[in-house]
Amino acid sequence: MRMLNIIISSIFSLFLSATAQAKMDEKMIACPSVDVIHRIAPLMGKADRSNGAYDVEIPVYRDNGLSWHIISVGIIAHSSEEAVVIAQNRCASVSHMVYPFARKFEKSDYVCFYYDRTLPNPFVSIYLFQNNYLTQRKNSDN
Amino acid sequence: MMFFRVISKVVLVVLLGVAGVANAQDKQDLIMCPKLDKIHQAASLMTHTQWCKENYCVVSSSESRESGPAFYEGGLGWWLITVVAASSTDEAILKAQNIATEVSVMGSEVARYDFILSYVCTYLVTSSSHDDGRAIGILALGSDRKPQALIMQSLKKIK
Repeated sequence: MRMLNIIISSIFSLFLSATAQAKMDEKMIACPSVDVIHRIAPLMGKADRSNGAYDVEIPVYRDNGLSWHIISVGIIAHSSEEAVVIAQNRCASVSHMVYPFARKFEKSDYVCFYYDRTLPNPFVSIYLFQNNYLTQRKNSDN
Repeated sequence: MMFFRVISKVVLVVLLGVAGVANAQDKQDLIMCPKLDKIHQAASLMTHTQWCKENYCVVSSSESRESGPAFYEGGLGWWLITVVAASSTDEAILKAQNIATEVSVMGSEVARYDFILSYVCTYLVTSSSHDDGRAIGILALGSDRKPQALIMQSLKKIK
């Protein structure tokens, strides 16, 4: 439920950030590559049921010194085990990032989107939330 | 007599509670997001603007009624809404319609339930011409509630 709220509020914030984002040059961070997403596929393992479907996540994954929260949402499955397998397959088959750089949203968090272009109606397979980026940056600057 | 009054009140409270839980469960049923072509087809209905912070909120309206949903699907009415930076309402509408036409990725196949907005689906633009550091897209709000109330609630939340 908490993740649901985070995702929804983040999406609103993404849209609301339309004007502010032009000034985010110094804070731009590259999204982990598609290869990284492929490599972490077997780590997808924590499933929660919401909205009649499953969300599967990796609570913490570190890449390039940054900490990411990785989640695949809206997985239609008969069990959490099946959902985990689907999430792992989604991770393994993503082919594109929606944007090369993470988009800033509420309170210093950033998000990256990945999808599989071979699907007829591409949907975001994987979300990566980069938490507390500014705090980390500030600490590293110090 | 007093005893029966207390019992009847308890029963009423229990019934209301059960009804509430049942309703909440109903609301969390699996709702699939409308396909991309539905959003593309409804792009021209993005015609209502409202000032949201430093941007314009652009909301769809139906062909028959100003505050009606852009389309119906899965037993719900669906409204489209986006936020754009623009210098006039005309520019905001044009931008919103272009975004609705160009979205090519769905945020999820499954709609997310939100207690304020009802069912929410997201659609993103991926083209490089829009890739200037912003995430651009459309929200589709699915609801069986009164349209005006839904739109006002969604705008309040966005603001």
